[in-house]
Amino acid sequence: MLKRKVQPYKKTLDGGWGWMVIFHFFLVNVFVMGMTKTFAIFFVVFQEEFEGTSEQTGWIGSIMSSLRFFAGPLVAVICDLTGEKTASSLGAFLVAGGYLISSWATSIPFLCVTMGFLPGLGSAFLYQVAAVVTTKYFKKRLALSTAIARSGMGLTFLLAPFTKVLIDLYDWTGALILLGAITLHLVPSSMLLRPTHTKSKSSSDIKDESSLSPSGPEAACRTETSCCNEIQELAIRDSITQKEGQPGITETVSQIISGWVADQNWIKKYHYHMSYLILCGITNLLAPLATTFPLLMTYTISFAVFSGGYLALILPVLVDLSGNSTVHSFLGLASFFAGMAVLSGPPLAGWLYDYTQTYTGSFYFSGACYLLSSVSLFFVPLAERRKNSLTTKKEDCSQVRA
Amino acid sequence: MGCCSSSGGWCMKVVLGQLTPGRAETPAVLADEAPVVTAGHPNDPQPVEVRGADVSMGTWQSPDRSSILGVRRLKKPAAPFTSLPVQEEITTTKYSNLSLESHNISVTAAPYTSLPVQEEMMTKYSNLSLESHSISMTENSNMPVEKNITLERPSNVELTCQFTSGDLNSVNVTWKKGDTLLEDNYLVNATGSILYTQYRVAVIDSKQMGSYSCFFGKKKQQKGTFNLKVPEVNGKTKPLITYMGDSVVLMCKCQDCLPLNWTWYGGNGSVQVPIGVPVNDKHVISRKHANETSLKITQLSEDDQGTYWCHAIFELGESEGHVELVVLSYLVPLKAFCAIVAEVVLLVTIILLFEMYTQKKKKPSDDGKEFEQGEELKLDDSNGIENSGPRHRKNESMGQ
Repeated sequence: MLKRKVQPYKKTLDGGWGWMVIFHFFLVNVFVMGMTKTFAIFFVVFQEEFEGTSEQTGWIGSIMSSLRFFAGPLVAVICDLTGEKTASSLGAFLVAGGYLISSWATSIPFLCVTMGFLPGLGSAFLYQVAAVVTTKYFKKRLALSTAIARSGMGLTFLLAPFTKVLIDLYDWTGALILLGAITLHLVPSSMLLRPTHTKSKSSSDIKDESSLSPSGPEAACRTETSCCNEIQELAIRDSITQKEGQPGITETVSQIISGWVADQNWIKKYHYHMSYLILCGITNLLAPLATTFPLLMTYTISFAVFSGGYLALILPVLVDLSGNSTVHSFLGLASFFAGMAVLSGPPLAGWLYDYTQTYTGSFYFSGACYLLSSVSLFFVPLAERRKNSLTTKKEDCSQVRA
Repeated sequence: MGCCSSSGGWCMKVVLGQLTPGRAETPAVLADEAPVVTAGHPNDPQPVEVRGADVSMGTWQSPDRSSILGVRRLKKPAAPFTSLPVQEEITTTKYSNLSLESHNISVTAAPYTSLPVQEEMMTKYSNLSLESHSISMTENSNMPVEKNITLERPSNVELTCQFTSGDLNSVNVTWKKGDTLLEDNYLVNATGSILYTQYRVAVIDSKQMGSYSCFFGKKKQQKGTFNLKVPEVNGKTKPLITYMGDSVVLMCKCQDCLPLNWTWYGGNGSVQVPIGVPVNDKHVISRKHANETSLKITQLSEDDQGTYWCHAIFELGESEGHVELVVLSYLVPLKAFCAIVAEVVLLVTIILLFEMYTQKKKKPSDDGKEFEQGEELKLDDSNGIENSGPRHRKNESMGQ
């Protein structure tokens, strides 16, 4: 790229080209979430075609979903090597290529690699890079912009009927080829990720990194437990209530509202995050009391509101706690933990159900997880105080030098 | 109620009475050569005397058709017996304004424990299973009542229609198969305000399958229909999409049935052509489970496109399902794929050109006041304040 003699301390733009980045992030959300949702349709087709058991075929989806999180640290490394645009395009090629090769699949293990491993890896690249670039472009309005981008998940409900139409017209081989081609649209969209030169603080940031670590892992741990809950919640929710469009829309709206509120900076973002997590936990602990349909609807709506609230704030809080320069590595770490949660969550919920023959145990467990994840956020003031004391010492030193 | 005749055999005073609803007919059992049977309506002062030998099997109706009795023969007991214990079952049921008793006498004899009582069934097909079905109608039901009965193998079928009405006097009962009136093989019975009629048929081949209807009433006929059918076969509702050169397996299955045989037919339009009959490589018919059949077609080509019918052959008839096959060439999705890829390449080119254009624009005016992101950005902070050398270089390398 063109070497600039531009001054380096431009703050984040909070707008302008940033909205193109948000558009790309939106598309990434649509495709990545859409992949998981359309997989349910392909599940049936693959099971019929290759005569595999549900467990075997289910592995494909599990690998795809969990690898999206597990590959987080790897993405951070590759991004450092090649830059964000290339990493994101690489991710798009991985996903599209995975789908294309899957159309020649001959068995379920073949599909595990081409439809599980490759797209999972690709979506990790896409998602993480998009999230990090968003943090570089937005600071004051980070929560709102992330919430807007995440609303792409709400659009995925269109993908399922579209995939069904494709399968009806072209059979699953043709449908996979065409879906791969459509996913290639993420390549030009990745090219919108122009690098920026944002440095949030002074050049002595690198020396500050060590003191940021206390709050970073906390954020990572909290992400893990909350992701664990999210997946468990979806597993439970899908199995007992009908998946109506209402919770999805409520969640999207709640995300946007929560993002906007958090951006007003009336109080620190992690306070909002903490309170949403606690409210989610309480809602889940009270969930077994919902026995009639109106009560169940109340639970679903309130859970959608609160979870939308905290989902919008995951990224901003992580950025707040870790600082702009190390977002990549911390996001990678957090994703890794979340991957562990994604992998263990549904089987754990299933085991709890088999053991107790009722869903109340799973609700209590997820409620407890939410409350536990909010606990780590109570330590943030402590860590910040420690960090502040270290930075003031360093600033004094640098001022003396300069 | 038993009486002895002078000949020493058993005789019975057979009281014609109504049959208890819900129980199979409790026929009077006659000794094979009982000399005398007296039968009659309780109110009738003159009971009918029938010689034992004359009493034939079948159904007996009182002259006014108000009651019926089934008659079956006992195998003749070896020797006269006079002091056998008699078990009597007495049931009392109401019949319009009369009360009747129907008696059921069963004879067990100690000396004859080795002689089992055999009954000859009214029909020849005693080894067949019996299926009973019933429907009920009221006087005011507007819609004809239908019941679908699925039969797979030959069996005796008992169809019962139950008609509830206030006034049963003017009610005529008729049975029809399709449009043909049925003359016999049916019984009529009445209890209170409910009229029962029962039709028995031994279904042994496809000629007995069809629709049987019972009709009640003179003026306003109420109709109940039993549809006897063979089990249904399911193919596929949606067409199967395949590509040229591939192979495909067409499957038909039926729920809980065991057809004798399966045959496949293919064709366009309404003409059905048998398939797989001269056994060849292209069409392979196999049957993994008894209730399903599969036709495997290899080396698909456009000629193989069309509808395929699978016929399940039962003793009582045939049932068919169909599967539609569509054969596409690879070019069809490939064209769509190329179109989408071309669009993506176009977008990429546009963006590359746009970026090169903006770079060219910035090249001449490279005085450090402009940002890479273009002209429309908001400039939040002032430019070029801390433009010192070492930091500048570090940031450049970071920004890549």
